[in-house]
Amino acid sequence: MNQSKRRIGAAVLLAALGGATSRIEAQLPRVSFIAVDANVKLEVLDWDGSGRPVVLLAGNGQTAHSFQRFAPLLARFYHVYGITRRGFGASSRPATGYSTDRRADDVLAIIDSLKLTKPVIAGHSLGGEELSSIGAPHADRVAGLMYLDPSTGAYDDGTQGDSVVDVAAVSEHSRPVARDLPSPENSRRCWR
Amino acid sequence: MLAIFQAPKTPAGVGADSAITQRWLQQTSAVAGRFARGLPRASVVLIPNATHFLFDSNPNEVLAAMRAFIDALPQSSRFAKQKISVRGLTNAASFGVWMTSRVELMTDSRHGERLMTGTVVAGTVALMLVTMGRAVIVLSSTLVIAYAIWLTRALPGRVFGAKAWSAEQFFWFNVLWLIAFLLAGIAIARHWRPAYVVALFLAFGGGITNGVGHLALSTLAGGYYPGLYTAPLALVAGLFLAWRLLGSSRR
Repeated sequence: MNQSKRRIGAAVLLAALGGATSRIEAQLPRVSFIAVDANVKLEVLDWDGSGRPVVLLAGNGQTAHSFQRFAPLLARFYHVYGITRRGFGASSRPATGYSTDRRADDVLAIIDSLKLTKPVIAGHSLGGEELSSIGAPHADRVAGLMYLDPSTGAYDDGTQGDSVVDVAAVSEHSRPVARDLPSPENSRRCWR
Repeated sequence: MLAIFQAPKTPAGVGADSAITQRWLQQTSAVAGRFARGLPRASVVLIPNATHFLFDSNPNEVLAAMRAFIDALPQSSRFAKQKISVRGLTNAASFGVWMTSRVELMTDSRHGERLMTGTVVAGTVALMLVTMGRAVIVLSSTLVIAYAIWLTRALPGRVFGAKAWSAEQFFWFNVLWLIAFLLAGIAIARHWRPAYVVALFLAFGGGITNGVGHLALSTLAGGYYPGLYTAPLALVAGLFLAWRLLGSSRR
């Protein structure tokens, strides 16, 4: 009988340990690296979920992991992905290719690679610039754009200073002026 | 198009009262106002007292705004199909209950076990075609429950030295497990994290341990031992489920 109790106790303990571990582990997304250009791979996080795909773009100096707390909430309703742009985090750090258009093309390449149909794309801060670059010429490929406290570059034509909004930039018939992202090192300094 | 802005310095009512918010957006020189005036068809949401990382400072407000926006978008047939997922789980549950009852009626023979194996394989293919990803949880549940029914009828007596259960006790014991696994499958589909505990137990206990254990028992017996035919299925299902669960949580 004592042996039986020990067996039951061990089973309960193992289940509790497994449960505690899985509870922590389950908060983490699946990570993959997707090639978007020659020798350039970007980190893509997949929080899983079902339904319409939602792609999250981080702000300047951030990685897709900046959505770590929020994405699981969103993944209760949609299939949620996060992308770390080139030059940051675990993504490749090529010497070139940091213009807005190039970064937007990176996002589109990942959408193609994941075979996402009409995703909704959300961009935080600087990610808004990439949204505008995607949304104007590629409006047919996305279902919607969500700006999260976007940087002024997301709707600035660059001709009148950062405080002037060029709404045409995010309309269906125009696009924002491509703007080079500061080097990753400088960007990180800005946010420290 | 949706734009959510933090609104650190706004008059009372902005962000909370729709009319006040709209009035403020039409007058202010803040970027949110310029955005709203430039794109009148865009939905502009203001969240007072939020930080720049508003999805962390005010996750519920951001989530609500996003859901309202996304759910109002036209549905493509692709997403409509994906929404069948819950229905697929229900179908799978019906299948599991049906299979459980059928297996319960079977006699304890190799013929019965082969029949069950064939049923499971057919069910596997059907389920994977219908719901693919999430169905693996339910599939594994039905597989392991059916498997457990076959093998553990005398489990209490063999392991714990107690009196073997009656057929009725054993049936309800397995039905309860089935219900637990099915609920776990649905809960995981809805991202209720604690359900992963049940699924992990199913993968490692019901799948891998059972599979390896009964293959080993057959080897030790030098021939057929109850569960020989279904053990590989349980093992494969357990490994696949474990791979799905752990793979999805690996950073």
